[in-house]
Amino acid sequence: MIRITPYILFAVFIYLLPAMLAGSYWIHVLVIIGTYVIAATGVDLVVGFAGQLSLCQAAFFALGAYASAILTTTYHVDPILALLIGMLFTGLVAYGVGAPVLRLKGYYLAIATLGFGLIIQSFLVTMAQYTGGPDGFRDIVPLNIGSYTFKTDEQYYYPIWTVAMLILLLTRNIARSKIGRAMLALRGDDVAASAMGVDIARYKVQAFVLSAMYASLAGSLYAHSNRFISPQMADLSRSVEMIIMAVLGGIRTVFGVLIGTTIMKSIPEVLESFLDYQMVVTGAILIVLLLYMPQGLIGVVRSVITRLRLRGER
Amino acid sequence: MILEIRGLTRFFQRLAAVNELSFAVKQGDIKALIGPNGAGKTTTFNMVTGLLAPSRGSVFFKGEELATLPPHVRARKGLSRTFQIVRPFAEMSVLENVMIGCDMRTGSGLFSAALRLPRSLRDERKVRRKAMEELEFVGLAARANDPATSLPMGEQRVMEIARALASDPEIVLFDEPAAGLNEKETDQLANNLLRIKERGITVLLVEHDMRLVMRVSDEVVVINYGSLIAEGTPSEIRNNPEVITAYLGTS
Amino acid sequence: MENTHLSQAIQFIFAGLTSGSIYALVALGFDIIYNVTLVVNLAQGEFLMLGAMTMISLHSGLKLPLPLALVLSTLIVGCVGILFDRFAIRPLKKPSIMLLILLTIGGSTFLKGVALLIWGKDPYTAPTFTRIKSISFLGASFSPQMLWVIGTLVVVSFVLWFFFGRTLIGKAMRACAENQRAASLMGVDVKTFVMISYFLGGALGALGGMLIAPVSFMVYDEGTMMGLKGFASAVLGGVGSYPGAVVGGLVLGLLESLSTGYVSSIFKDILAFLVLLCILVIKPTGLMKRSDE
Repeated sequence: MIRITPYILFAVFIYLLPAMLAGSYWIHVLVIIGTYVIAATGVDLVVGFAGQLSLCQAAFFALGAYASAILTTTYHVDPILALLIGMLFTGLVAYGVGAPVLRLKGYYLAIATLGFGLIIQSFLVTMAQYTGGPDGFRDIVPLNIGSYTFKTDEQYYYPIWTVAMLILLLTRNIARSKIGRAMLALRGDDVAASAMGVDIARYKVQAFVLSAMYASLAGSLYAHSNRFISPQMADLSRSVEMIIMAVLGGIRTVFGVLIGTTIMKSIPEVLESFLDYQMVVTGAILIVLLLYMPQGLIGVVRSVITRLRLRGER
Repeated sequence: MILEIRGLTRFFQRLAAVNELSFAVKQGDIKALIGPNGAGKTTTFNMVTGLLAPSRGSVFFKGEELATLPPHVRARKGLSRTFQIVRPFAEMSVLENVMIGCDMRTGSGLFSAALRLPRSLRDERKVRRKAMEELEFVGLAARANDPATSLPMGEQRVMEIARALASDPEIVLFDEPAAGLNEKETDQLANNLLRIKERGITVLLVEHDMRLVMRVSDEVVVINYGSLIAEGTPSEIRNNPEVITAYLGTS
Repeated sequence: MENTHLSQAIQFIFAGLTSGSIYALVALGFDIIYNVTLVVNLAQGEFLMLGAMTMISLHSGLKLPLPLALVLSTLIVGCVGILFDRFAIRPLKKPSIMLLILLTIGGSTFLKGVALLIWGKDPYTAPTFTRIKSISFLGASFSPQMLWVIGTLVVVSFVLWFFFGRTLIGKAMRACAENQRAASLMGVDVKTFVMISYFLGGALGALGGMLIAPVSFMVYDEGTMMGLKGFASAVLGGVGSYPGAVVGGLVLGLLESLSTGYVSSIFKDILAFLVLLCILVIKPTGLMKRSDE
């Protein structure tokens, strides 16, 4: 029971936050962070747990976003329904690509997913009649549940963060179950995992499809709350950012995903004229992270605590 | 005969690493597969466990031909193994490593896990209990929550045994379990093997350590250059001139 | 007498050989680095882009004569390669495939970002090496730049063959990858050879970029697609095999060109991806290697 308390405190904090920040631009940022937390959790699942280096997560995010945008704005489909259709569609695409591709290992898997991401991005640009082309898709219809329409950032904040926390909770449960174990085993040693009865192909695909559906969900929510999307959101550098979000805070932990996503999505607000520097900063962060802090920030904190403890014991 | 190998052959380029090998393992026995280095023992193992496809021949387990079944299906049918070079699951504790072995016996899936339905929680408790039992059986219960990779190699070997037993297998294949062990650890291993036999589990082991083989085995199969050269009880094998020639003085 | 079918076919073939030569140069760069360090450098495409951009800046911007700009660019990007290894790869304490992939991806993102800062999102063009506008051959007209491209590939192939096959340094570099520890025990300076391999990787990538820039536009993110196609070429021919890189690149270029010309232009970018998938599923060791090597 004691272990649940931090999460309850966190939930309370999240719900009270908008009141504390009343009217601040940061609520807009938090809405964006909320959507990316959902996507980053998926990345944590497929990269952190199952150990499959998928470089096309941003493409799945974009698929969800565009599916929602097109279905709701061009075809007047109900937003919630469109969101679910988007998730189903993206899941099927992920299954179709994943089943053959996940048999590959190492570089080949990474490049195959990279190539797939490029294809999706190119597709979004060329199918301009539906997607609006390189200039993007504007004035996306707002999200509504029944007769209640969400319009402002404050209004979007609650449903998005509710979904985000639900996703975190569900994923945490999966991680602590036999499925999480199986994925971690296949990441650690797939030969041994197979010999111990783990159907590695099935779990790889499960992780991949699940992460794609999370990304699609996130993309759909982003499309409605931001009202504007562009093919740039499917770019490789965005997939790289999502991987950083999953790893920066601390891989395979709830708070790690929250910290990583918050940092990555707050940087643009802190650095002026950031858009030009985004790629350079992303690349640099990833390199520094992997070379000097592979366990993430939580890992750094842990080793500092351990070192202090050891020093205290002397 | 719980395990039968008939005409098992495997080519690497044009060389037959295993050549028309046939032998059987009686249920409840401890059978050792021995031979000089490069005789084809590990290749045979990998064909039985499904890691390698035979060029010719078949493997029968409990009367059923295993053909192209992948390793995880064979494991579910009751065929378990350990590895010559330890393969622990890094990033997981000793207990979690062993729990993987039991997981295949539970039926709960993604949905019940995500929602923490009673079925999933029940399976978790069951798996955890079974894994602790096996750790107690091999004497590693005290290390249950330590990271698997923090154990010395000898103890990681023992953990692998617990992991292999966790699925309630009918046969366990041991790939050179004594490699790198000192005398005390080898004696402990011999004890474990005999205790496993007492549980009714069949054992097939590949080994170089002759003392261990002679002490625990009911039957021994000797191969060289991929072919069978002798089969019988340990004492029959010890005095077999062909076997002695094959080893050329190795005790 | 103009046979339009034949001239069209020749047009496609030359276009295919041209782009294929570029892919081959990128693939050769992959192979050199891989053969010495066992790292697959996913930033290889960025070296191509940087080579082109640097050459354009030096020649069109600083008004340096073209040959000087070419040589300087090659040297500069070669040095970028060395720095890349020094700061992004070498500090890694516990190398694992996933970390190496992510590091080279991080490096490629960083280099792309730098290019974005320096040159922006605009496409750039470069002048062709010779001022002749076009050559006619059997009814097909094409730019002489294509001859430069294919010719450079031939020269580079010969130089590499000589270097790795006949010179002492080259042979020692080959030994490096086979067994790094044994090589260093025998007095071979592994670090220097790693440096050389990254320099060569950078230089070859840059060369490819400079050759292709006059024929098509160069943008800051062009490197990603070129890197992907270069990698596909390397895999097609067998990773690590230099003749394989050349064959793989030319085959991929021809396939692209012919399918774009005769079937549909949708295929242009997807093809490399599809070819890669097919090869990996059917014969992962590539065309040039025996299956059991």
